[in-house]
Amino acid sequence: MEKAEITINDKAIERLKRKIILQENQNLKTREKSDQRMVAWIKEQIEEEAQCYLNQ
Amino acid sequence: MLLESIMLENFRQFRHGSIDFAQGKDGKNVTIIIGENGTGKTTFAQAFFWCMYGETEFSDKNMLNKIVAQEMTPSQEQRVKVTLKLWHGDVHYTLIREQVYHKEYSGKVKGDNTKFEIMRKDVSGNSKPMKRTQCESEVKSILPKELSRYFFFDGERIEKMSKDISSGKKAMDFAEAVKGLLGLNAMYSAIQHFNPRSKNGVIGSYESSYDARSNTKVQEYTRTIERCKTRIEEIDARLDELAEQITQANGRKQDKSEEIKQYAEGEELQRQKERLQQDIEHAKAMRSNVVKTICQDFNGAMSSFFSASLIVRALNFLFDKDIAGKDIPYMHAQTIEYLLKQKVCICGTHLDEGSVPYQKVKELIEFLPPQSISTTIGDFKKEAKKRVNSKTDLYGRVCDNLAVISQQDEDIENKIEDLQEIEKKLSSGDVRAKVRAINSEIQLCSQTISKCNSERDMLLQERGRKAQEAERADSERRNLTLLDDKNKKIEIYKAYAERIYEELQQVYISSEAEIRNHLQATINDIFKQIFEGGLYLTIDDKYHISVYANDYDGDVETSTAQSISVIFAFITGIIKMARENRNATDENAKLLSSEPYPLVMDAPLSAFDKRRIATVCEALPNTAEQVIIFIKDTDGSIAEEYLGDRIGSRHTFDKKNDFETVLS
Repeated sequence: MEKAEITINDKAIERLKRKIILQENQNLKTREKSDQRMVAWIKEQIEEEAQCYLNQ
Repeated sequence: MLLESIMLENFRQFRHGSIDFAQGKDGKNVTIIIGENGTGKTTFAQAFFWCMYGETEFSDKNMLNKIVAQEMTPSQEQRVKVTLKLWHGDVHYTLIREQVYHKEYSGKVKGDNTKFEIMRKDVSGNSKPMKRTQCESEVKSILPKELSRYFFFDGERIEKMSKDISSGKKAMDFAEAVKGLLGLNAMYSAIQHFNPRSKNGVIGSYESSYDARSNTKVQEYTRTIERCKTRIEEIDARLDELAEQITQANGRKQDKSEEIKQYAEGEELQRQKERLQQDIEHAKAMRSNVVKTICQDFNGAMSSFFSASLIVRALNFLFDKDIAGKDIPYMHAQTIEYLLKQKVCICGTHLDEGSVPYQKVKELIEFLPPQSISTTIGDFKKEAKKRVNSKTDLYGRVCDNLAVISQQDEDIENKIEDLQEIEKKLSSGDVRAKVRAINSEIQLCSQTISKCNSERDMLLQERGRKAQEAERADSERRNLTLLDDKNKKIEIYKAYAERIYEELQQVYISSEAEIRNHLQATINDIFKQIFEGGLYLTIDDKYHISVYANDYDGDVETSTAQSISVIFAFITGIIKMARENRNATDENAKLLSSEPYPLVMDAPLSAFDKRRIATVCEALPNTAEQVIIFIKDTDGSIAEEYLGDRIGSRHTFDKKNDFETVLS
């Protein structure tokens, strides 16, 4: 069966990658967020960006 | 990580003593600790290890000061305690390791297990003790044990350090740790947070959040994917074990094959055996080439071969059928439908329903695609004639190649018989017992290798099947989830997460290779400063360092001074690069920013001559953010001469007696 296509915005991916690495770097220094909280934070960022393009 | 202070209580010859370290204020980042031989420089350096990892390199594991132990009365308790204060990132840590000792009535002093505590003060100034279960992993994240030896640089134990990175599994941990120091930690953590294998990761949590109420199939597919992933994980773990076993067995087999050649009778037989093994390998490769040719021939000509008689029958049938020319080239049935609907032909004739022109144009539909058979039959005839004319002798070619294979099989069988003959001789009374024993070990290794290889092949096949099954289930689940609004959103978020995960992995691989090349260049620059002459260093993907001479093809044996220079260049190279990334203005380099680390060096200058001491002393405070040097009193004046304006803290070890040293 053919896999249904989902359009992904390349610019959003670039922005997310950068944001995530910077946050990971920051968190390595401060140890502010646990792994679980980091995962939740990443999901939040992805959902915000994706939702933004869905609305368009 | 930058060290603030260390305090020792009853630790070996130090009953009470503490040191505050220079941390770079006013450009002064060097702490020197001077002492005669035997005053306890090495012991003090080992106190860092003991505090952080609960280990030392002393053969006597009793850390309690001998005088204190002597003065203890039975049932009395005494404790050894090391408190290390440091900064890591923006967090201030206090590491405390403590061990309680008891004296038995027999006079024997025994220590309990050590207790390890960490107090953590974060940016906002809140201080709290960490859970005991988390302390060890926290230390690992501050400075992995595999790397600590390089930062707590011990010039007198250089050989052991070199061996650590050139052998076994430790090299892998070491490579991971180095990557972390070079700023890849953030990317690595991000990849781990996305990891689809973990249910708690970003991708994994999307996987498990589909709403299955709309369609129970979704749940079924999710379960299939999870089952496949679990199995793939098990397979990967087993594949790692097998790879390790194969490497070990190969190494052992090679060693033993060399050893057997030391015996005259063994040497000749072993040589014959290796020659035969090579011949068999070669013959097997030739055989598989012929098998490949048969498969290629079969795949290429199979359809013509099996359809030949049908094609001839079809051509005979079509021989007197006149269908050609009835249809209009490049015209489609939909074109006619359009004209009929418009009620006007291309030529301008009106096409009124029921009229003669209308009927004539309508009849054309039968000969036009998709219903038209004229063009299809024309194409079929063309293709059929081509196949009939170009019909290759597939049968003859396969027969010839099978004959070659049969010849090759016979040849391989003969060689295997010869090999078995040699094996028999190597295991029989023809050779002395030692040769037999070595040979049986070689055979054992070969058996292990072949057993592991076949298990690996089977597992790889199974892995492929499971990956395919998971991909199929994922694809089918996606088709279902996209029909439901809530699930559609999850599907889209997951697609974003998967794409980020993929790209992060690619960036990680390319950054790692780039960083390794840069590291190699940096290390060579530093190495050249310390060790002039035609030597250069290379770093492979496992971070093994090899020393080569410019005019000699092969690894060179290194002297102690060279080895120290290599490790020294290596670690200062890493520190320098990490520092460059931290101070960079380029945004991309900043992404690779990592922690500063101190260099704690025990007797680093002893192995160098005066000229090199000058170079090392000059390089040290410029490369590392913090330098702590334990130095022999005789080297003290040289160090003062070259490091003078960078020294922020000085200490001297004063030996009172064999069991007590006082810090001043």
